[in-house]
Amino acid sequence: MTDKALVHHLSAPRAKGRPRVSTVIVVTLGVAFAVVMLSPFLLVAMNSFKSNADYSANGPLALPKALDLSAFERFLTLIDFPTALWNSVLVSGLVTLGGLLISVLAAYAIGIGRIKARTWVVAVLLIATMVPQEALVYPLFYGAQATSTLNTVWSVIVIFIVIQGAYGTYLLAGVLGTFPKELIEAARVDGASAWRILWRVVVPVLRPTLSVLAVFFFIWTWNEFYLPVVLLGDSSSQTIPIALATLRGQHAIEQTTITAGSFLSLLPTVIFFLIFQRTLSNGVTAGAIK
Amino acid sequence: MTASAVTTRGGRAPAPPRERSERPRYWAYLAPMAAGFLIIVAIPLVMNVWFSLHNWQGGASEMTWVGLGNYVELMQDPTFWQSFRNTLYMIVAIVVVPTLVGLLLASVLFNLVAPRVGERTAAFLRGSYYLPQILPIAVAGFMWSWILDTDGGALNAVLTAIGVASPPDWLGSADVAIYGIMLMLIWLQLGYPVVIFMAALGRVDPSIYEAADVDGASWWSQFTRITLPELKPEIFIVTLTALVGALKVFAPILILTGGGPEGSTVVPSYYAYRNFFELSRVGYGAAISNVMALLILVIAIGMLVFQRRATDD
Amino acid sequence: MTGITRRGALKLGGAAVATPALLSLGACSPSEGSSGAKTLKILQYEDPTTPQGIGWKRAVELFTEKHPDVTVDLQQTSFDAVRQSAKITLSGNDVPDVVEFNKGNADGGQLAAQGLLTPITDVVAERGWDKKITGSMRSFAQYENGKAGSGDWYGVPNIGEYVTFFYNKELFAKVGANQPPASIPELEALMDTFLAEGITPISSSAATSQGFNQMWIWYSLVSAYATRDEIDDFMFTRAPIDFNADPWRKGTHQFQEWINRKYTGERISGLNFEQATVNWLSQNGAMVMWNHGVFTRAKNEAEFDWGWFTMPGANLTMGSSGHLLGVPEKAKNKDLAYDFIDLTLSEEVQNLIGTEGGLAIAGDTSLITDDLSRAYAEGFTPLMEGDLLSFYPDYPVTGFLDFIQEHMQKMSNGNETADEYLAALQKFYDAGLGR
Repeated sequence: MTDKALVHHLSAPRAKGRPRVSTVIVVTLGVAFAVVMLSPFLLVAMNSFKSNADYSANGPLALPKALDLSAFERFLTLIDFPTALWNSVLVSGLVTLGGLLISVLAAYAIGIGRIKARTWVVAVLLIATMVPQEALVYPLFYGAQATSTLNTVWSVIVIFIVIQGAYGTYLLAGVLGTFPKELIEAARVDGASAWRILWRVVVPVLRPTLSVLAVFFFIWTWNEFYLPVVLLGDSSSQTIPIALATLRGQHAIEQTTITAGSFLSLLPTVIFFLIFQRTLSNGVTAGAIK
Repeated sequence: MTASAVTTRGGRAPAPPRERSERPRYWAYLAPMAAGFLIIVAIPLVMNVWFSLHNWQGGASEMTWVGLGNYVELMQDPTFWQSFRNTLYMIVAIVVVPTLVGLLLASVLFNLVAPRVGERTAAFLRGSYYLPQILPIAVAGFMWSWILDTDGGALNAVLTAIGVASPPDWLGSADVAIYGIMLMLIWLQLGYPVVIFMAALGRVDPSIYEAADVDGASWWSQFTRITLPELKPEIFIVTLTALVGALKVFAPILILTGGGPEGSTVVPSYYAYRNFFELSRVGYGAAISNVMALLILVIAIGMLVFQRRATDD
Repeated sequence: MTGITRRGALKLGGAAVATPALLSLGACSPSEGSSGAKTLKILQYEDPTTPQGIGWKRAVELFTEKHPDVTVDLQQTSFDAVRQSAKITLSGNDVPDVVEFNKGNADGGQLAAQGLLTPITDVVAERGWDKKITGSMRSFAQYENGKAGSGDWYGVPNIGEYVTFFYNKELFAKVGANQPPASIPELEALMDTFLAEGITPISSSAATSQGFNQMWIWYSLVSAYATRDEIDDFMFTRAPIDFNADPWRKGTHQFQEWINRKYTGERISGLNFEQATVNWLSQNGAMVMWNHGVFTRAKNEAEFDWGWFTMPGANLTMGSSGHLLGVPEKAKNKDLAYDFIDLTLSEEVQNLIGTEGGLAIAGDTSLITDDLSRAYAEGFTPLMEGDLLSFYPDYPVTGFLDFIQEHMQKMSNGNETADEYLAALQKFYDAGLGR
């Protein structure tokens, strides 16, 4: 049964075209809540289209008196947006792919391979997600220097593959722990090696979870600021959050420019999310797939 | 390995003897993650412990050995203990409220809205609840400082409109600032449980719900009797990761309040950051992050063991 | 099921993307090109549309004329990034040749003390920079054992800054004030009049992060009663300070008075300086105390008549040199770096900075065409030449900024008295000296 069919089975519709009162209430509340959740975005949008004078005279909560694109112009002159965008996409993209790969491999060993002491392995790996980044910055800096990856995006990519990978391993290991043995048995009876079983049997079933992870990894990495700022000193390797930060001076803050820049920077992640959103409706934990 | 030894691990089917010879190969799959972890996390952590045993101003300055001196000082530091008290508030705002509300929202969207109104609506609502997670935290911080602004802010405008006489000085008063932060954190965090729980609901056998419908069970009763038990694995995942997140929370504090007003919103991560960079007390900052990491580890292991016991029942 | 899953396809796609990326990144290698051509790497954080940013752009042009075989790589970073990571990044191997760094004992002083910057005293003398940078303008360019005020030169400023009240002439006229006040008592009387009319006298801020207005008001009051020696002793930690004596006592108590009488507004502890500025620009306050940050904004955005005045009748006024251009110890092209710095101090670039509205340290103010900018610069000259600047209060001790901010907040909320603050200040300052 497809998911759509399942969903429609759940609740037989009432008399044609007549929604229940409770439904109307629930949907209204849900939409109202969504508006509240989205209001900060509205603020970003509103203030991106104001001139500086308008913003200063009327404050951030007023609607723009006139639509003004000067903030965007300023932003694009001050920041090399294409380079920053490319760097962000490159870093987030590669970290997502690398993180997924490394998590799948490790989780395979833990969840399916059932290596010894696996709870401890997962716990130790989780440390990677628990350690605050400032605890790692000095050693990672010296390490990046030693491997000549300092000021290149590769230092950041490798580091975040590991950090995101730890989270992914934890999640996937849990999912694979309840993976139906019969599928693996069947494949093994057919003479498949562990490697083939992984890619032909396990991964396809894991696709929904991998989609969720892909979304998380991409967005988390996109917004990372702290380690990148230390490791990516060069303008040519800066990602978008770092580029945005250069707009904040010590004694002067270009508010409309920052907002316009944030608005532009949101678009790639929102688009990414919307693309992957559809895949989020499938299960995170592999269940009874018959 | 005897069958009984295997079945004590929760009654799973015993591993066929052939697996034993393949088991060594599984370690190879773990290798990339293990190597990465060693280089990126383990070694730096060890170095961090080394730093914490010294007084050091960072960069090229000298390191002076102090042994456990930093830790001793830490135990008597009132700011440190205050930061842990604040962490309890963080836990409420990042773990308790979003998980509970997230469960409700996910269930409403999946079991009520999707079937009765349409999947598109449910997906749209879910997307709008998740969108805060996408916004860069620096931007979110600015937006919320406008919302929480005492005199011109959106929140107080709403409160005044509904008749509140003297709306609080959210970011300026040491008594309420932590609640302002909690509001922002709930807003930020809510989408994560909603997404995970909705995805999880997709794997629940719909016939269970159908049977309940036929029996005339209300939505609430279905929620408590079917949804909650079925979602236990995901609830564990969300709780554990959110807990770690709450113990580590940093950026919203940095942007919104800088640990103020009057130090009332300092959290351990922020305190470590201050010591590392503003006060140039790298050794002390390292000690703070080590204690935190240790605490997080203990809590996480505790939860993992608890989870394993609970699911093994 | 045939081979490639969506995941697999994406992975292949990723590899396909990564390969050219890898190759292109490999091609962008550091300084030395293939034919031995050099690159001068400059790392700075000035907004390129500000006077100093424009001046530096011109300096780059002049430099390229002088050294046609050298490529100039002008890199943009942020103040925060330098403050946080300069110590780490400058101890690496791939450092810029010219770096803009923050003045003060906590930042520049630390960099100097850790040997991350080249002492340039000889170069300064050789090229005559010390003729252009005199008096308190050079105080934070020189460091000894991490403390400013004396010792070797480590950097060179290009501009100066000073702190003034900016006022709304229309609101002033409304209460009958057609001139700025001439003394502090007159200022206080004026502020009483504003309060009677329901106008907030001073738009201020006191948030822990970025809420600096209160701190500047406090320190301006202290500076008003301080002598040159008292400030220098404090700044350069040359002698023990008794914070329970004047000017500290007098200034701080007066500051508390101002808070109690609501001259600085109410419920400002959640605001930052940007909000205080916006409040003034939207005419919710008669005055705001700030430096050229507000000057530029008012010039471009104010929809009312405005002006400025320094703290009336003050001995010293807050202000200092701008941030510094220095040469990291591990820089590879030091001579080229010195050439560049020399160009930033040249007549042409300094005058350009002046005409664009900046306070050039060695410019000719008579050349500034814009009336407002010239008036602003001319207001600065006597302070600079008369050695009447008292710097910014957070420079002497590491961590001072956060400490003072926290107490400004407490006082603004009415949770601390001036005496309690002075006692805490004494303790922190003395402890900081021992570090």
